[in-house]
Parts: sequence; structure tokens; C-alpha cells
Amino acid sequence: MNPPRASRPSLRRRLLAFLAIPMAVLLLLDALLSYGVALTYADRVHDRDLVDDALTLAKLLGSEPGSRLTQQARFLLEYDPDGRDYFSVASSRYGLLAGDGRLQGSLPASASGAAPTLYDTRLDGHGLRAAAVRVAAAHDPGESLTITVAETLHDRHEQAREILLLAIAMQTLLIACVLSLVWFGVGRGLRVLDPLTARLAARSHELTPIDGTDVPQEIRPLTRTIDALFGRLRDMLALHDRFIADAAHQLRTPLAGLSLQVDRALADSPTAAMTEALEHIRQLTRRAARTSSQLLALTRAQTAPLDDVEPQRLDLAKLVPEAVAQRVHEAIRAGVDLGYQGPAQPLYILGEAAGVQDLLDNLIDNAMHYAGRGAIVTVHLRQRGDGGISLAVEDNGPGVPAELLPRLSERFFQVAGNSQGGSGLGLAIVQRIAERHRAEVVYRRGERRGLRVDVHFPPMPPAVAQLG
Amino acid sequence: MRILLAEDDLSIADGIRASLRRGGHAVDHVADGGLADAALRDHDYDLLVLDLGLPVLDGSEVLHRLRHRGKSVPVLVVTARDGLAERIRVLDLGADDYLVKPFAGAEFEARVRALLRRVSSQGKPELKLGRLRLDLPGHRAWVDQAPLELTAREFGLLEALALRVERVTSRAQLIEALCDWDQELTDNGLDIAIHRLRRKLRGSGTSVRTIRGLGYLLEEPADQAGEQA
Repeated sequence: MNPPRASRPSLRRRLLAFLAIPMAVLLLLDALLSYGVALTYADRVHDRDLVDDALTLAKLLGSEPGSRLTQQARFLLEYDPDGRDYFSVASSRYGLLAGDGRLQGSLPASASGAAPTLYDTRLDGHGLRAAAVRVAAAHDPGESLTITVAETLHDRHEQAREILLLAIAMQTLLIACVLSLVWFGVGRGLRVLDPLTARLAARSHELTPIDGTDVPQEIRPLTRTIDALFGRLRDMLALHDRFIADAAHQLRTPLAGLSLQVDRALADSPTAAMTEALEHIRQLTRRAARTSSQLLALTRAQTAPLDDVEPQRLDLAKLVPEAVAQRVHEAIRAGVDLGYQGPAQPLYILGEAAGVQDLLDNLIDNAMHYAGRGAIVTVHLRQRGDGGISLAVEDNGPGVPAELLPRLSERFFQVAGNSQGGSGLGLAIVQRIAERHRAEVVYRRGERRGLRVDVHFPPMPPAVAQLG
Repeated sequence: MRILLAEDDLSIADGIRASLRRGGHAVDHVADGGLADAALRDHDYDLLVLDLGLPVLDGSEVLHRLRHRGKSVPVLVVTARDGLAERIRVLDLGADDYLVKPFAGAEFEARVRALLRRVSSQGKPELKLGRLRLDLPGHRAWVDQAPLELTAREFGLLEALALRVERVTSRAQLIEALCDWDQELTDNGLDIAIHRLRRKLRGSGTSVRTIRGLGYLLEEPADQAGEQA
């Protein structure tokens, strides 16, 4: 079972986490900076407005006759719907003429001369920004008027905040875009692995290195590690197979001795009971012998992938009848009518003669074994429409129930209730050898009854077909 | 017939010796390659049954030396080594037949019979199959002592089958073999010849078995006995 999805490392999550945290910090820094910049600009604009206001007022007052504010000027100055603006007009001679006297007190001492002075102050618990300007009174050059205009910081903060909010919204959107690009980008980027994945999925028992031109640079360390692992696994399997082969070889000599001694005992006219026992021993010896041969064939089929043994052009129309003919005596002894049906003209495949012979031997073994005495077993060979070649072994025995057909190639699988003592290796060997020849094995019912096993060899590659 | 058995596994040697003696042969047994080589130098045998994995001197080497001396004694190799490459290698070394352990006693006896038959056909040009006897140069045949009347074509057919006894002979091979006797032999002609030969062999104990799609096999009484076992 796979561990739950969430507990696995994910490239996507890692990349997102890697990006999201620094981006959030950047967002925060950027917001602070934006706020600061926005505030500076707002200050600049508002300060200019304040100075303008102060100068305008000064001009108005300076041209007024007498140091009294007209009703109109007072309205202008006092019009303050938000209550955020303050003003004062003070005369050097008469003191406060209009506005809020508290403003006068906070005027810095340095503020003198005609140039407007900007300064910060506090009033009613609010921070204020003020602009003061001093002008000479129009009617009396000895008298100077100090005009001060102030406003709370609310507006400028408000403006900066608006800019800040806008910036945050924009940047959040940007970050969301980047993160979703990463999310999809990882998926897209990983698609570069698709050809490799497909190539590996097509493998069944190959342990050859997977390194190839379709391996992206970034995962080459991984594929190299896997290749090294494959190498060790190959060595281990080879050792394993060699062990099985050695064991099977070692078994052969004692089995041969056993078989010969049983024959000898049978020939020396023993009692009926002994004959029966000896016959059983003979059958069992035969079975053990067959299993040891099959184990050897299986190890042969597994160790060398076809690419390693340099496939040859084989004429099945010649090889198959010869291989079938070798089994004729055995078939006669087993009471099986073994026959062959195939064309006279050559039918070529690319393969390995020993492998094809093992494959055919096992199919014939299987058919003779399960169809039993009196059965008809026929080996068919024909060219298919696609140029491939089909080799089939058909018997008229009891056959295999349709639902069990797909399980036939499993190693050691035997149809239940079948106690005829096969090793269950035969069809696994067939499957292995077929795979090495890129051939397909199809199990189905025989024409009337029994089992028919078709091995479809692919057409020869055109380059090889033209040789010789 | 005198047979040399070179086999180091004593229980197998014992079994083979028993089997050969039942067949009426004299058997000398040696358990290593050096002794086998020496025995083959000192005596003339009708058959050598050779295990390849012999101590002292490998079986392949024994075989190589034997052929190097120009001896044509038939050699039946018995080996635990399987595989097409091994089979080809052994036959290339000059073995006449090859049997992979473990083998059935009946199979072994049949191979020995076939090899010994070849001997007699080389020594005296005569073939014996059970009760059937063929005089090859004289183109005559007998069942026990009674002569068997065969046409040249039928005799040629019987000879071709008898020389490949224990092996399936294809129709193409038969047609080729009969070209010496007949300029042209059609498929039909072959069918007729086989039909006639079968009729004449009736009662001789030997018969021609059709192997579907592969050809024909000459069966001796011993084969049929094996079938009943």
C-alpha cells in the first residue's frame, strides 16, 4: 500500500512554500516602502497646498484696507466642512485678528521674513501641519501680519493608505498569479518525464540501464542511481539463475541413475506389486526430470535479454518441423498423435533458435501432458496478414475454462483439480521466451475443444528482412 | 556387440551396463577419461557410450583424440549439459548422437540400436530391423528367412526409411532419395509406393507410421513394445 498522499514530499508544495514565504516578506517590505513613498508625495502636495493657501490669504489680507477681515475673507477662511483646517491671522501691533490663537504660540522662532515656513505642531491632541507667512500690512508698513494655515494629517494619511491598499491588492494578485504559474508550471515541466515514464512502463523484465536522450538533465543523478541498482539486481538475478541452473544440472545425474536403476529393476521380472511401485517411481522420476529441464529453460529464458544474444534470422518453416520431429518418439510412447501443419516456403523471424526450441518444446510438453493418451496435438505455422508469423500448438484434450485462460502464464499456476503432475513452469517459460522475441501469446479454446496456444511473432524489421 | 561405457557416476554406469547387457551386448566400463582413451587405443569397440564430464581426461578430449586417430566407431554422448549450443558443439566434435540426462531407458536403448545398426550397415552392408533384414548392395530383403519381393522403388523407400530409423523422414527427403531409382517421382507416386510397401511389410513386425505433416517413421517391434509399457 502507498502511504497517504499528503505525507509524501511534493515538488509542487516544496516549490510553492519556497516561493510563498519570501514573497510574503517581500510583500510586507514593499507595502512599508509604498506607504512611506505615498506619504512623502502626499506631504509634498499637501504642503504646497498649505503654502498656497497661506500666500493667497496673505495677499488677500495685505491688500485689505485696515486690519480687519472682511466677511467674505472670514467665510473663505472658516469654511471647513471636515473640521480639519485651522487658521490664524495675527498682527504685530494688534495681536490676534482672526482664527485660532493657539496656532500663534507654536510658531517656531526661526519663522521670520517673507518666505513661508512649514512646521509640525499639535492641537487638540492631533498632529498638525502648518504653514506660516509674514507680510507687511498694506495700510501701515510698520505693522506686519502673520498668517498661519494648518491642517490635520488625516487627509495625507488617508491618501497614503489608499495607495497602500491599492498596492497590496495589486501585489497579492501578482503573487497569486506567480504561485499559480508555479503550480501549473511544475505540472507542465514534469511532462518532460512523460516519454521516459512511457519507456519504462513498456518494460517488463528488462534491467538494462534506463539512461537515454529522453532523460532530463536534472534527474540524471536519479536515473544513474537506478541504473546502478539495476546493475546490482541483474548481478543478483544472474547469480540466482546460475544457482538454479547448477542445482538443476546437479539433479540430472542422480535422476538419470534413478531412472536407469528403475528400468533395470523392472526388467528383472519382479512381483506385480513391485512392478506397480516401480512404475510409480518411474513416473515420478520422469516428472522430476521434466521439472529440472524446465527450470533450466526458465533460467535460460530469463538471464539473457534477446538484445544481448544477437538475434538471428530463423526460418521457422525449417526449424519448427525439425523440432516437432524430435518429439515424435516421445509422443508415440505417450500415445499422442503429434502432427505439424505449415507452409513449404521459408518463414523468417528474428530470434534465437534455442529459445524458440524451448518455447515449442514446452508448448508440446504441455499439450501432450494435459491432453493425455489418445489426444491429437498439432503444431501450426502460418504467415499472418501483417507479415508476422503465428506459431500455434493445439490439442483436443479437456481444455481450460475460459475464466482461467488469462492466468495460464503465471509461474506455477495450475488448473485446479488437475493432478497430473505438471510443474506449472511450462507456460511461464513460453511467456518469457515470447516476451524476449516481442511475441504475443494468446490462449484460447481449440477448434472444437482442448487448448490452443498461439504465439504471434512480429514481422521482421525491413532492414533485416532484406539481408541474405 | 562390444560396447565401451565411459561414465564416472557408478549408479548410472551400473544402470546403463544392465540395460546394454539385457540387449545382449558385452560391456566394458571405465570411470575416467584416461582409462577410456587407453581402452579405445587397445581394443576395437562397436560403440562408445561417453559421458562428457569425466575425471582425468574430459569426454570431449577423449572424443577428439578418437576421431583424430581416424576411428569411425559410433559415439553416443550422454551429458547433463543441455542447450542447443552444447548439442551442436558435441556433434561437431564427432559424436554420432547425443542424449541429455536424465533419459528414459527405452530412449537410450533405441538410440543404441540405431547406432549399432549403422555399424553393421558399414561393416557388412546389411541392415537388421527386428525380423527384417536388408542386403543393401543386392537390393534384397528378407523377413526371417523368407525373401520379401520388393520393386526397386519400394526397396529404395525401405532403405531410405531404414537408414534414418528412429528419425522422421520427410516426404521431400524420400522423394530426393528415390531420384536415383526414378527420374521423376510425384507426390502421388510416393503415396502409391508407400501404400504398396506397407502392404508388403504387413506381418513383418516392422511398419511405416505416418507422422502428420512431417513425414514417415519406420517402426520396429521394439518401438511398439515400448508403446505398451
